[in-house]
Amino acid sequence: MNTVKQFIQPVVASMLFLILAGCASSGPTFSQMQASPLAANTGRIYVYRTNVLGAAIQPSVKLDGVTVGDAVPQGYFFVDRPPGSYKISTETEVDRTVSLTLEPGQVRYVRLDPSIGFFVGHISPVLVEQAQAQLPLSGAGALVTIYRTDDHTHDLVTVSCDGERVAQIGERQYASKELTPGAHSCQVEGEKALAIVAVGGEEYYARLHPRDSGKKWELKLVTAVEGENAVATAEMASQ
Amino acid sequence: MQVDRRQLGCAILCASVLAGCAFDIISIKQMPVDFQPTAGSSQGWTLDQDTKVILRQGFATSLKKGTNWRQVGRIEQGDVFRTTDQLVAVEASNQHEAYLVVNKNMAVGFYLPVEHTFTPADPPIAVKTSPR
Repeated sequence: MNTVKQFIQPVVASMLFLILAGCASSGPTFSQMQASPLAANTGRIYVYRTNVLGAAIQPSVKLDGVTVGDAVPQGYFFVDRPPGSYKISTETEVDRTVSLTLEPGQVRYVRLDPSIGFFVGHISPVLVEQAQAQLPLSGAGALVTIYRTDDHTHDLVTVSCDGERVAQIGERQYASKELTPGAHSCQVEGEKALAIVAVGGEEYYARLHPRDSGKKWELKLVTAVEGENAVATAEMASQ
Repeated sequence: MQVDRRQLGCAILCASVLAGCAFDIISIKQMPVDFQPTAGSSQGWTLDQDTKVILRQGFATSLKKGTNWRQVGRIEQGDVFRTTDQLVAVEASNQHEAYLVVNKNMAVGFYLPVEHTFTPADPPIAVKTSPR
C-alpha cells in the first residue's frame, strides 16, 4: 500500500501545484490586446480561449511545433504567417491538433476548448467560423444572440435592443449584441419587447418565432444549448 | 488465491492510465492521394439541402444548404470542391480542415489539404445541387 501512497502523493502535489500556478499566472486578455493591421501577403491566425473551465491548465500553444503562446483563459493572441498549411497543437497528457490552410489576407480563428482528462484536463484547438469567433466577451458585459431557424418565412425582420437597431435577420440567420449588466429590452419593430436582465459574463439566446404566417413576430428566450445548436448551423445577419 | 493489495492497486492504476490513453486513439482514417489542382475557371454549384457526411471514425460533418462550392482539383476518388461559405473540417481526436470530394453526385469523402490525404465517407451520400 505504501507504493500506491508513494505514487499518489506526488501526483496530488503536482495537481495542487498546477492549480495554484494557474491562479498565479497572467497573460494577454481581450482588453489588453489590440490588433495591428495585416501585412501584405500574410494571413492571420487568432488563437483564443473563452472558457474558464480548467483555468489552471494552461499549456503552450504550438504552431508547427514551435511555441507561439499559452492557452490563457479569457485570453487570445494572434500570429501572422505567409500563406500555407499549418498545424496548431496543445499538449497536456495528450496532444491535440488542428490543421488548417492560410491564404493571403485570410483570418482564421482557433478556439481552445477545455475537456476532462484523466490526470490533467485537455485543451483542444478547434477551428471556428469568423462569426462564432466574435462571440467572446471583451469585458464585464453580457451577450445576447437573436436568431431564426427554418421558419419558411422569407421576409427580413428588423430587431432592435434598447431602441438601437441590431440587425435585419433572415431565415437561418443570427445577430449578436453585447449588453451592459442590467435591464434591457429587445424587440421586433411594433411587437412586444423581450425583457432581459443581463448578468456580466453571461450569454443569452433569443429565438424569433413567426406568427400569423410571418405577419407578427415573437422573441423568446431559449436555453444556451438550444441557442448554440441553432446558431452553429446559421449564418451571421448583415448589420 | 489471495491477491496482494499493492499488486491490485498497481493493476487498477495501470488500467486507469491506459483508459486515460484511450482519449487519444480515435483518429480519422486517412490515405495519401495525388491532388491535381484545377486549372483555369472551375465548375461550381450550390448545395440544395443540408447534408450530413458521416465518417467511419470521428464526428459527422454538416454541409449547409445554400453554400456555394467551386472545384479546386481532382483526386483518384473524385472531384475536390471547397466553399468559403462555411467552415468544413473533419474531426475525431484532432481536427483537420477538409475539402469535399464528389463522384457522380455522391459525397464520397474529404480531401485534407494539409495532410494531402483522403478520408472516405461511410456511407457515401447523395448531394443535391444546382449549377451556379
